[in-house]
Amino acid sequence: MKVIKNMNKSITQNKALPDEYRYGFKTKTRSVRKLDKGLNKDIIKEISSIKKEPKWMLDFRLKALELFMARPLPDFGADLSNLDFDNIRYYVRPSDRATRSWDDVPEEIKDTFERLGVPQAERKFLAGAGAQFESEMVYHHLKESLAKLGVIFEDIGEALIKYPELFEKYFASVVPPNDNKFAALNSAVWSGGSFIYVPKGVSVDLPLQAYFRINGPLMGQFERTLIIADEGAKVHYIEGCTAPTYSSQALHAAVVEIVVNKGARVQYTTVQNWSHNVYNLVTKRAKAFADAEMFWLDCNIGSRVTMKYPAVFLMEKGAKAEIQSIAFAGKGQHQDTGGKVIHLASDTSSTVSSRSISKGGGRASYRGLLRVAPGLKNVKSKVKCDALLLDSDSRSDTYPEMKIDSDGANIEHEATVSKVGEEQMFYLMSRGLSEDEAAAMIVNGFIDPIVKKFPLEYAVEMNRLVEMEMEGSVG
Amino acid sequence: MIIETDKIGEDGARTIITGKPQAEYTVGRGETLNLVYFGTDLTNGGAAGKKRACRIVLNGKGARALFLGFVIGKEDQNFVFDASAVHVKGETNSEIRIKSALFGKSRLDFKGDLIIEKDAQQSDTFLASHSLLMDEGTSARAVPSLEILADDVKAGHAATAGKVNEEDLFYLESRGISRREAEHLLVLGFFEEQLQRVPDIDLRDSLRQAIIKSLPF
Repeated sequence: MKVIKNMNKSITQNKALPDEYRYGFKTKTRSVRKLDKGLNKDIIKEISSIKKEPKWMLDFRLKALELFMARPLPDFGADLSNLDFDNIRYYVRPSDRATRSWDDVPEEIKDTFERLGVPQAERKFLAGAGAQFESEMVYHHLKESLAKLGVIFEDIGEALIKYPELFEKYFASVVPPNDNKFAALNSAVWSGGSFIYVPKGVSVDLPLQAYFRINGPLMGQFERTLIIADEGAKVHYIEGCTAPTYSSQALHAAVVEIVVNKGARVQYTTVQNWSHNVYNLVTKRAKAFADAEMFWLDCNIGSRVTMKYPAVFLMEKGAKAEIQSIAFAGKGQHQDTGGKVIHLASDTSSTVSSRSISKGGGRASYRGLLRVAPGLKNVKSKVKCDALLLDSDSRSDTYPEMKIDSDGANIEHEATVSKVGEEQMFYLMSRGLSEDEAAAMIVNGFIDPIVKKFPLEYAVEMNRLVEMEMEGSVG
Repeated sequence: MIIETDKIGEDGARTIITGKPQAEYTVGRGETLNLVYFGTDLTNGGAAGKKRACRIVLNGKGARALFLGFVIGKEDQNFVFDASAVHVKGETNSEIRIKSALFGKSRLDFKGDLIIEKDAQQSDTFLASHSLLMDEGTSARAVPSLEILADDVKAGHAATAGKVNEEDLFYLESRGISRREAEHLLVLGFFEEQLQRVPDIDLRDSLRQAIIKSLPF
């Protein structure tokens, strides 16, 4: 039985791809402009001039480049020694301008998106969609009703030209360029990404969505997203990623900044499934002001290395933070993920929940920070991380850091590491499930409390991805 | 009053109480180590101020180690403590537990590391860090890490930091006990739970007396 199954697999599997990677297809594209590999002042000047940016942005980029050069690689987390910064292309764009209508999108690119299911997703419930292909928005659409309410959903490069005041006020206000090495890199070479502004009291009922892809070997992607929810506004943003598989390393160093003003609520959902050669080094951070609520929902399945710790700064009274994340580390993967919450005001609360799975020699690490500033009252926080180990080659780590400087804090933390129980497997298999199916079912059950929080389509996709990743993992 | 002990019990288990643990303890096949760290200014030489680190290596099948930390911080005392347990061989068991009551401007900086190496299958490990922040200006830092390289293991950790429970205080006060007295009782109760884990009854008693003497009320 098993022999036949394996034979089928070897027939259907493309030999060039080391792991079964279902979305690892490529599309031939014409790049209008490709800059040389490597990083220096001239490249940055050229990016800035192609994008017709104001002088302050060029100065900002150049300053950030200096900071990037000066900073060492992080001394924690994953092994980044194979990253060769000189062998990366820092800017490519597939077509000249962001287009609004689907018909205007070049055929090959459309083909890629269709295979990913973007148009269906749009028909179903999208309020507006920006799809990022290589470095720029090629497709950008915003429902008219939202535009009438004053909601801005733009390619970030265009937002800089169109809304200079808003842009200058909030850009880099949450993640300064000297925050870390990769935030500095992004600040120097950023291109593409979304800009969202939701005015006072406006509630965007349907999620805003953008698909991200990396296409083109040795292509770095440095998108930058800025979301501003004004007083009492509500918005949910979803980013979903699938990328073609390549043998050379690709770097994804994004920065996401979110400002949640008084009484506002922002949810940011990520379904990340980079191909297994991508270094995904992302800085995601939100500032939540009085009575505001920030919710990060984060799922990391693909990539070779992910280092990502969505953070919330609770700036004023009544602010709330929630971070829920899933990490799946398979063969050759290291997921170094977690969450950070910094309580800077009284009457604030936070919940962090993480579930990780390691299999086939993969390594999943939870790295978290919980800080309570001095002199605060009525601060509550609960952190929970659970890990599931599927075999003896895999590894699971937990590095939660807690710095509690107020006696008015009530902090709870717990973590567990466990393996798939033989009894559970036996029970499911005695009901007629194969070993693979039983293991997939147990893993899906393990992450279910977090998957439930995703919109239905994503929850279904997540379960499918887990089943796919679990194929051939046992026995 | 100085509490320093190193003795072998009737069951062959070694029990050590100290404010200055050594750098490394190796626990061999079938051996049991109980290491009690008592961090107050009462202990010989004073436990505060200097960084203390200890590492317990479980180097033989069936080795067991229990680390119990009791810390009472006052004024501007600063306790820095790293404790780690390394499981090298299978079927080993370790627990690291630290409880602290921090008064005045005192602080605890605790780093706990549990490492289960690849060959240490069927090991069981747990780490707990609980802090009572009694006054404004106290600070508790904890990094309870787990590094698990084997799969057939049980591992977990738990940490809390906060004040004495208001409802418990209210209950005792409603019974005519002064607030100060009630706090005193609750702090003792907080430590008592962990004191019950000290294997030797005489040692347990003298530790309890030392804790009572160390409390600032």
